[in-house]
Amino acid sequence: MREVIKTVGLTKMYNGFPALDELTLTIGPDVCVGFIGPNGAGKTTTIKILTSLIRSTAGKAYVEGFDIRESPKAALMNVGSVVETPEFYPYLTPIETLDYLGRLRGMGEEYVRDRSKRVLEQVHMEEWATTRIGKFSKGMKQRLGIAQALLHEPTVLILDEPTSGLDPRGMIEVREIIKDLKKEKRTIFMSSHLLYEAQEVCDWVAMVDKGRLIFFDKVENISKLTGAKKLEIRLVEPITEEQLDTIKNFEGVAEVSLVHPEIVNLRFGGNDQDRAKMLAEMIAKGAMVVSFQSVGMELEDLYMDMIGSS
Amino acid sequence: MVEKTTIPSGADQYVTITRYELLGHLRKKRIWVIFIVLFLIFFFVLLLFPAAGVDYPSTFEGYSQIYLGFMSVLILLCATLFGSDALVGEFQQRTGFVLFPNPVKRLTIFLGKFSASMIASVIVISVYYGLIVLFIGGMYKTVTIELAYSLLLAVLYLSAALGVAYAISAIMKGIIGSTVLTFILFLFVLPMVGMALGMAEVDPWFLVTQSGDTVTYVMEPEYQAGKFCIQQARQTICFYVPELATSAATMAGYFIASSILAFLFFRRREMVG
Ligand SMILES: Nc1ncnc2c1ncn2[C@@H]1O[C@H](COP(=O)(O)OP(=O)(O)OP(=O)(O)O)[C@@H](O)[C@H]1O
Ligand SMILES: [Mg+2]
Repeated sequence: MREVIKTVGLTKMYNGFPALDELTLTIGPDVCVGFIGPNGAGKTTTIKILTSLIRSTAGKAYVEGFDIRESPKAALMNVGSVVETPEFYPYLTPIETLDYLGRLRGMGEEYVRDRSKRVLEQVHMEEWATTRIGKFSKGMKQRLGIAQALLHEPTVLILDEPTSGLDPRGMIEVREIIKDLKKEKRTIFMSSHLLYEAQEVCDWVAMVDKGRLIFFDKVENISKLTGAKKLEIRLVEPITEEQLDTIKNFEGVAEVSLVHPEIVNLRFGGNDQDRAKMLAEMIAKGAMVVSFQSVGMELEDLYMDMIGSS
Repeated sequence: MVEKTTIPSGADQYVTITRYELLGHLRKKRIWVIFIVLFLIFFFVLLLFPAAGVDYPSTFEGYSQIYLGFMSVLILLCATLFGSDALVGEFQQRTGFVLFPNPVKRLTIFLGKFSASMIASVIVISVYYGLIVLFIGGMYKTVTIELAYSLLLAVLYLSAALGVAYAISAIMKGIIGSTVLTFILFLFVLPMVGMALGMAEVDPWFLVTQSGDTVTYVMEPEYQAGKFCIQQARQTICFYVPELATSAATMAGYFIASSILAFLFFRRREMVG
């Protein structure tokens, strides 16, 4: 397998304190990896090392096989990145900024012009293309940050909380952009505090805590790990004793609790067929069910389990 | 898609950086501050003599020297306004988050920035020299070659001052601190050390501000380096007119040492915070 991003024992010390503690991670081609973990876990630190903004204290980091310390130019050629909320020269316009960055990345004049137009459209900034950045809002700068990351059509995207600072529509748009990029064979490594975002957008999840990698697997494998899903059942009328017993006695059910006379929460280990069977049985007992759905997310459960215990 | 992009050469990147940095200098308000100061000085000195009812200096060289006396201030303004934020700004204003993850060496960034600061400053001082040629040369119907030597020395002094401004900018945490420190160093600290050394009758040839004075001295029709003392009541006050060659070497030395220092600090500096 091609190793697109690889870190080996990556460590960063700040005054004797390990912000990153021997992180070893290998990311293959054309996948999107969500990078999650609590505040101060070391997400931004990892991303800064991968984008050559800081140097590691120990360990190695490679992008497309190039050591970021030894051949930064070759390694960074393939990377588009947004780190923290980016700032731009206030005296340049987005078009000029993109021309500047495009030239630095070896893009020809025409190519930069076409791509600038395209990426500004993608982030809905075309109206502002020739306005000086000086007074742009945080969200506008974030959009421009995404645009410049996509400019040179990099094979690797490294994004630090790409949707932070954006309005709800902006967040959805950026997620759509990322999903589209996945179709174009890009490797995406993005940190996020929004677990549903990571689960929705990405194929893999890497979780860090206190500078250490504590979980790294495919999103689809998470449910196997977390096991029981949370279910919420809502009825039109208060639940009867008999109906409640039906639920409690059903195979794979645990932690049944009555939130409200008409609302029951429970954990259920069965598959979709078992779920359907349980619903049918309740209806047979006269329960008037309005909704019967899983609540919460597997990733959220996993996160709470892992972070709680680490 | 990928074939339209090739690993860019450092030379191309250098040109790009210099161009955009220069564009920045021309678009920032501060260049107007410098030009306003420049024109104020120029027309103040021009109108000074008729306003005071005093005769004009008798020679072109004499009048030029009055103008060139302001050169060190103009150069200091250029060094601080075009140089003091050049490096530290990338960190403090966080623009480095976008600039540094590009496939470009810190050396290329450094050279591009320095060149742009240098070009902007040379434009400013050239305008000043141009005004001297135009007005004062016109008035006396003569321009001496020494004015061109003065310009060369001014450019040399400028490179030394910018080098020091860059070194301070590479080390300091903030733009204001970096600017103020450079200003104080050139306006007070170095001249005061020079004065103290003069009193102690030590030749301060190694002070760049002392070397910078050659910008004015070089206009002397009969340039004479050496120690000159004045008896004042009980005290002898001495000052030194530096050798041209020594001064040029000192300024070049400051330029080389400080820009190397600036680059080494800039290369090592991490984008923390
Ligand atoms: N410049 C610095 N000096 C000292 N410590 C630092 C510095 N930068 C980061 N740290 C520490 O390194 C650790 C990791 O920080 P990092 O920014 O990587 O966390 P993060 O996972 O991105 O957190 P967040 O979710 O809040 O963005 C934190 O404990 C932080 O305090
Ligand atoms: Mg962070």
